[in-house]
Amino acid sequence: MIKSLILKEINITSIGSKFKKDNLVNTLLGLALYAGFIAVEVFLFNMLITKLDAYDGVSEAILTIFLAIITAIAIVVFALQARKSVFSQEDALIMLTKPIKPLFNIISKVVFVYAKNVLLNFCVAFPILISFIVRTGRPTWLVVFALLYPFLASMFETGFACLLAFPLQKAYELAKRFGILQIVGSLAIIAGFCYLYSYVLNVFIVLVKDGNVSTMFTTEALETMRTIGKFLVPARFVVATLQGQPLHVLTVFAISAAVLVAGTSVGAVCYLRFIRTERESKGGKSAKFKPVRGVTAALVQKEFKLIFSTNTILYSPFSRR
Amino acid sequence: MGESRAVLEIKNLVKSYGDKEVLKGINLVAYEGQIVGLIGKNGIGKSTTIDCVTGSKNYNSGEILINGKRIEENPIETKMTFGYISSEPCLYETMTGFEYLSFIGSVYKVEKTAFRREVDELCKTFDLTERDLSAKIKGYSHGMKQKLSLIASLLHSPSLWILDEPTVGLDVMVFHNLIKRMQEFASEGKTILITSHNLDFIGKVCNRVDIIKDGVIFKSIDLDEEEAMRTKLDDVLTEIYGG
Repeated sequence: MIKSLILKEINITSIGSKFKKDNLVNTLLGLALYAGFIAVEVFLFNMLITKLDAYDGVSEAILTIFLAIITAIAIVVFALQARKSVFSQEDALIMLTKPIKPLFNIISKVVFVYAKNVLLNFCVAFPILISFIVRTGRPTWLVVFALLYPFLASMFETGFACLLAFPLQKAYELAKRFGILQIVGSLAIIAGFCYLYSYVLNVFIVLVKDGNVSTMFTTEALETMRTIGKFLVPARFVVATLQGQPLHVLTVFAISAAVLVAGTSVGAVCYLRFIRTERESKGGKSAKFKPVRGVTAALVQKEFKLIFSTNTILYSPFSRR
Repeated sequence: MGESRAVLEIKNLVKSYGDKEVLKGINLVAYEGQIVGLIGKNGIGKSTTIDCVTGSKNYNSGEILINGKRIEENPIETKMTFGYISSEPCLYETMTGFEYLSFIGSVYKVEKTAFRREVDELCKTFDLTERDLSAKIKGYSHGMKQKLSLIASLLHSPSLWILDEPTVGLDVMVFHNLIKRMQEFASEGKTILITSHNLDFIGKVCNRVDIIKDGVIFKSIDLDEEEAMRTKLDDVLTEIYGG
């Protein structure tokens, strides 16, 4: 049964259709972009380690921060996907009348998110780990740990993503009701991404131009990185394993498994609540009829209402059709 | 229905939405080989009754038994025995028709040869081609979605078929095939519960019609005994609701 449900999740997200003839060009372009991103990421990492090699413990701190950033991005990305999957009205409507235990449905969703997470970590985190092992001359057997890492990290990331899915759903419902929240939220996110992009681009330009990163990474900055690295869990235990403390892999496993179990349990409770209460139409307050003056005013009002209720409408003026 | 076994029993079903009590004690029994129509004006509680039977909505009190088993105590077992289509077809739009039917077949544990046979036969009955099934559901018209829902609801050969407004969007040939399929279904000793605003259709296929008013079954008409009533259902409703 869970196998059928996982296949259902794959078909819903149309992963299989990406490799069909019609979509092949788009898929190949997408893969090329991913490959380019990974190349830039590995280049940045390698250059930073090389340039800052003189400072003791900095390469470990850089690895910790890189892994922590990847973990944070994975959590956010998969929390958004988990929210969409778990709180899907369409899925709930179909599943409620079928002979399927709701617990099996939520397990299939968690397994699917976990599998995608493992793939992401293999593409993004695994090259970083291999780079580190090679550049710092670590023993070859650590490659085995690097192969295990995507499975361990994905447990942590998936669990956290499931924990965040319910608060994200509440935030989403709030944003749908109050259009101003959408504007403020979108602007804040865009501003944040622009700042991050400019920072990373600066580092990249400096590295490519003359490789003199000492102006960007002062002694104080490096010390701060080392301090912050001590608190980044489970990344610091991963780095400790790579530094020849293999028992820390058990710590990584324990933390990741605990977060996954907690996340799945919370996700299951929220899902069961959702499928029972969401479909009850509570009967809203009777809407007040507001007469609109003139056709133009009515059209403008309609456009504003549509923009805040349908996210594809926001970009429709920029579409070709 | 002398010797026939009760397949669906609804006893004193009460359902409220907040303060508004929609169902105030629905009592309905559907027997083997019977086609029961549930009719009434818009918003009277027909779909709510169906939703409570299929498990997609909770209810405040009462009892619903399918083949003698309470749906709350045996949700999986009872859901295996009925096929259901809703008034608005609810399908995974990003799947193809084939993918959706395969998923439904897996959920109901339909054996491979039986699955292939049922799909072929039902696609002929409801006029969906292989080409249609290969396309994504989001590109389907309303009528095609309805046809796919009808096929999916019969794949596992249920003993109870629950239809909520099944005729909307169907072309005339498929509509006639649906009537024929329903009559075959009932002649095999199986049971149908149907709601529809198409009273000519209800009058044609049903053995009995239950009319909802004020949250209860206000009137029950045995159409096998009162054949003349088959063409007078709109007059009955007009009289009941004072239209």
